[in-house]
Amino acid sequence: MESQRSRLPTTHLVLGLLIGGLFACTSNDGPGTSTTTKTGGVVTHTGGVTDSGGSPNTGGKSATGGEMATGGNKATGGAPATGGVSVPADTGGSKATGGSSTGGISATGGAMATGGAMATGGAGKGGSSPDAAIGGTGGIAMGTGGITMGTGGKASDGGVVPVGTGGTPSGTCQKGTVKAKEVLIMGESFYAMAPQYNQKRIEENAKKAGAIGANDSYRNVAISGQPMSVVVGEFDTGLQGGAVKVVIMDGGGIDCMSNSCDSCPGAFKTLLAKMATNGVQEVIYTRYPEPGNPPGSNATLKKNLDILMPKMQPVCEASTSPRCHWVDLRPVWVNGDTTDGLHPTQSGGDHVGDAIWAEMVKDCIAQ
Amino acid sequence: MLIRSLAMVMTLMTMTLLGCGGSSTTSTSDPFELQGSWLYLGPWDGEHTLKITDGSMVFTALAGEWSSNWTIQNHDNGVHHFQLVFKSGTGTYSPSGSNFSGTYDLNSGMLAMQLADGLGSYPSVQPTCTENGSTRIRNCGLYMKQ
Repeated sequence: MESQRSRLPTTHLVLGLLIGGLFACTSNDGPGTSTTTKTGGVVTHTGGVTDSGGSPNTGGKSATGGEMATGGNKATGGAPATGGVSVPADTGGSKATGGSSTGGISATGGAMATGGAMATGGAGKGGSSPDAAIGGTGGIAMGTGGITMGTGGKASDGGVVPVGTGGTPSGTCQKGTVKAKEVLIMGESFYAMAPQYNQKRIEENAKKAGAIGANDSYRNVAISGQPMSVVVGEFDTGLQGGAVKVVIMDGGGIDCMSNSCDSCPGAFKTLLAKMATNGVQEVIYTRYPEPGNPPGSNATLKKNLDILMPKMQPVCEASTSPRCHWVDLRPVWVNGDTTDGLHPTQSGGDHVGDAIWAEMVKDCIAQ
Repeated sequence: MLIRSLAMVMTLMTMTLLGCGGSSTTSTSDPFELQGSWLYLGPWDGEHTLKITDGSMVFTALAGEWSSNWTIQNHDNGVHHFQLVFKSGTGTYSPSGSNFSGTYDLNSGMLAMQLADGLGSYPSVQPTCTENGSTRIRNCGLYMKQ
């Protein structure tokens, strides 16, 4: 009895200490999980025009005038191709005077008319259109036709003539078919990190061109720091906000901080297929600028990107529905475009935005 | 008998405490494995760098408009825990609070760090700082080793 009485308190003490000790343990399960969903600034947009660019350039025929140029005469036809480019003279020739372009991003045309190979400038639609660049492309088509400079000459005519003559007649680029809110930006910090210089620059260009309204903005669902597996899921978030016709994106860069992401090309291919079934018409995938400051100095990331990106590019380029456009940002990224080696400064955003917009103009995306 | 019971109690107490697994006192003497400079990647806005020494964490906005300095009260490399106590700050600094318990995930130079208010329980951490697809988790940050 006595011994039982002395054992009971001891047993209770043991149990009490055990329970107390267990409660003293901390838990690892209680995340501070107040969550927030990123919506991205959505704005309606009225503007947009599309363009059907790219159709074969009828101008080629008109380039017949090339013969004239052969003599090396100036291509008189070259009335100011406002949008355009200076019309190439031709091999024999001098530049088509008419060709100078007012709005033209690239008045490359004339120069290239050598041998009739690429009279890029020539055909361009001209100038009334703010999208001078388009004109330029047209020229290319024509140039090819003309052995002779003549093409150049005519091309300059093209400048006068409404875009139609160009290889990608601006006339066929229908504008206003894509609203700003139907353009979705996704990816990671390159597009997500505030201030979103890349997006702002694209929108500035679009507003100048009348593609979107002054108060319009694209939708941005990019989330900083996310691997490709999460970037893929951002498309679902985008769909929740309405129809998506055009996507501007990156992805895989975060994965490349640790490896070359063997799964990324497959994930990208799956994403493109999903986009196709959800009405996306155009995708612009941007290859990252060289990482580091100065560009290329982040050796590990660069090495992994150099392995992954060549695998992503063919996935993009093989996609016809949606059409996938590969935009390599390495050539436009210069010293001063980043301070942290990853994210754009104002100048970096300008260079990136201009490169993307040029692609959009060239292929008549969300115009 | 009494002595034997007491010995058993002491043994069980020791085992129980060891079972908590999060005691930092045993490993604080090891250098903190996160020491170094880190660049913030997201998922929230606010570009900044994070400099970690064995005894402090300093968060500094990339443009320099804010900074905060924290004392690492203890850390445990084994279970990826640490505790922070506020030391000083300038501007509208981040993180905002007086002390935190943190859990981290470290993978090939990528760091995911989840903070929870107070020095009580440690939070769990998602390596992407997102959940349910693309919902960002509060007080979670992703960093790249510089």
